[in-house]
Amino acid sequence: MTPDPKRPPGWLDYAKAALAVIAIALVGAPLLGQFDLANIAMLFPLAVLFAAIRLGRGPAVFAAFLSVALFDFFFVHPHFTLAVSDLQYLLTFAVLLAVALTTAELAARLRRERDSAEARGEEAARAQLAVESERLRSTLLASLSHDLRTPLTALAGLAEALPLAGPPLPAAQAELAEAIRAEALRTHALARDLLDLARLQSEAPHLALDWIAADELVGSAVKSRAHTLRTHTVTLELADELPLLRADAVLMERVLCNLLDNAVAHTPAGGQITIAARATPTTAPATAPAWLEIEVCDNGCGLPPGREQAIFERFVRGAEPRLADAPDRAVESTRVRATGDEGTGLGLALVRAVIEAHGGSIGARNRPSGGAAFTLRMPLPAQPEPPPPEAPTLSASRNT
Amino acid sequence: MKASHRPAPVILLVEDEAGIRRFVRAALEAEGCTVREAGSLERSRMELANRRPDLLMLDLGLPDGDGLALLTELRQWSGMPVLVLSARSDEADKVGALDAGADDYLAKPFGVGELLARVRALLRRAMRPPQAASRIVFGEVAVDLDQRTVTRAGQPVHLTPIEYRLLGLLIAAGGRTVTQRQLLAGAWGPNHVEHAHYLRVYMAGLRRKLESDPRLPAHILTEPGVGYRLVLEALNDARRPGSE
Repeated sequence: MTPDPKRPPGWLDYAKAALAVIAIALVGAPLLGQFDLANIAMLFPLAVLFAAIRLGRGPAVFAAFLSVALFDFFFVHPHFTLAVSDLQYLLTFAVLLAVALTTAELAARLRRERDSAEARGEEAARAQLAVESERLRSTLLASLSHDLRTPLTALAGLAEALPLAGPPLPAAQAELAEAIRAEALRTHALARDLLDLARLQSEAPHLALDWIAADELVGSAVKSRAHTLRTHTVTLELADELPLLRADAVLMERVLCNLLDNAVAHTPAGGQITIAARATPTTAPATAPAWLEIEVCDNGCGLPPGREQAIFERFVRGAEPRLADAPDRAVESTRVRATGDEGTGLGLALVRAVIEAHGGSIGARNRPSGGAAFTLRMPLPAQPEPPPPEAPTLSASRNT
Repeated sequence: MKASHRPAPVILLVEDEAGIRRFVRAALEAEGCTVREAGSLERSRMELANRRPDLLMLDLGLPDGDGLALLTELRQWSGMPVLVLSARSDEADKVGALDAGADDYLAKPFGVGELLARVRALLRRAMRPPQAASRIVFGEVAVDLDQRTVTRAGQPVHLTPIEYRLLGLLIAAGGRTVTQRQLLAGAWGPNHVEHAHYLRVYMAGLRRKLESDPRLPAHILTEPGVGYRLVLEALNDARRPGSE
């Protein structure tokens, strides 16, 4: 057996090398007298070659020296001593040793190269397999995404167009049509969230990275959830001159929207929701800020004690939705039906997947004053060059 | 435009999903439009060549090719309004379509109300005579495009040349989203289309000068991943119902 190239040769390999040399000596013994000694000596490099190829460099070198020793001991006159009567045999020994050692070295090098080529080949095959399976995964996700979402879009639209196709529907039927539409939209949102989760949890999720202003992000998220937030008071606590984030704008807006939906769902009407953003240094205040922190706080029912991290986990495993054991779960499902879109139960899992795909982290805690606080920390990159300053001209003078 | 002396505007609906075609058709016909349908690129090329519609509604993913290719071809000979239908999360598609000359996009799943509002706005724009208003008003802000002056609550507002150019690009778009690329190229030149962070700085500046609450802007709105748009009448509800 070819030894493991990473394993150094053991005593057994040396024993095998010795056996090989002895075997050659036995083959050579009957030839003594019929062949020139120099020709018999030519047999010994065969044993060294065998040792070098099969057993490694150490046993091969051992075989080389043993060959010289045995050749001298059994074949060179006087026999059965290491003494040499004719000095010309010293040349034979030297040549034999040189040939044997060179053979050992060459064969061992050949073996190393073969082993590393094999290893490279295996690695390349593994990499190829990984690329293939990632490609398969994303193709599958893309087509699933299309095949699930297109009919749901049609279903929601058809339900809405029902009254347009004929005389106005009676109230009860109109209500049913609206329920069909809402359920189709909800299923659509669920399919979207599931597929996005799968996409984000792939090995290298695709993020459309862009420079993002956190205050702009917060502003657009609040604006897009204005309808949901109308029953609550929203306060913004955004530090001045926040550094820019490098992130996927669409996904980050989803994160904030999901956190806002979550806050609304677990805070009674009239409650308070606060969104704060600040840059935090890692150590001394003198160093450049390393993280951007965005916090969404509410003064609602808070999180189940001791499960502040589990709320992000449980969705992933597909267990019952968060706060299934909380009395206001019914409130959320009513809300879901009312807006017909959000609240798939995957919201927080998606939040975490997005933040982690960006190298950030998210945590949740109960506030001492009541209610929950969700804090996300995003790593801050080196800031880009600011735009070149403008020389005041033309419209500026008109404008003053 | 053609539509002004026709009884009903003709809309070509290019979409491969029959269910979507059916409800869009129902909605548009209830609105008094004539609807032509095409389920493939080839068919839509024929329709476009035979009977110039007043508006094209274009789905980007078609069985025999990319809707963007059709849009690019169309833009070489026609300025007809084009409304692109795209999957909700594919912002890159929206940007590509707007940069290729689409007038607006509608994210799937969309509601009938939103669909009709977009179609009406596009048809109105297309029928309006080309001369543009010289005075634009939004919130407390009035922009005099002839005089190049901006006032807020009657007080003059000082804009830098680039701020004014950005505002001008948003005004010219008439409420539609202008992509980051278009804004960067228009305000700083084609060599700066990758410098999205310039926009963050300048839009913040414009909002400080023109919005009553710059943190919750009512007029200069961000479309994440796509660009910006100027809304003349402040909406007190969602930014764009249905588009996250």
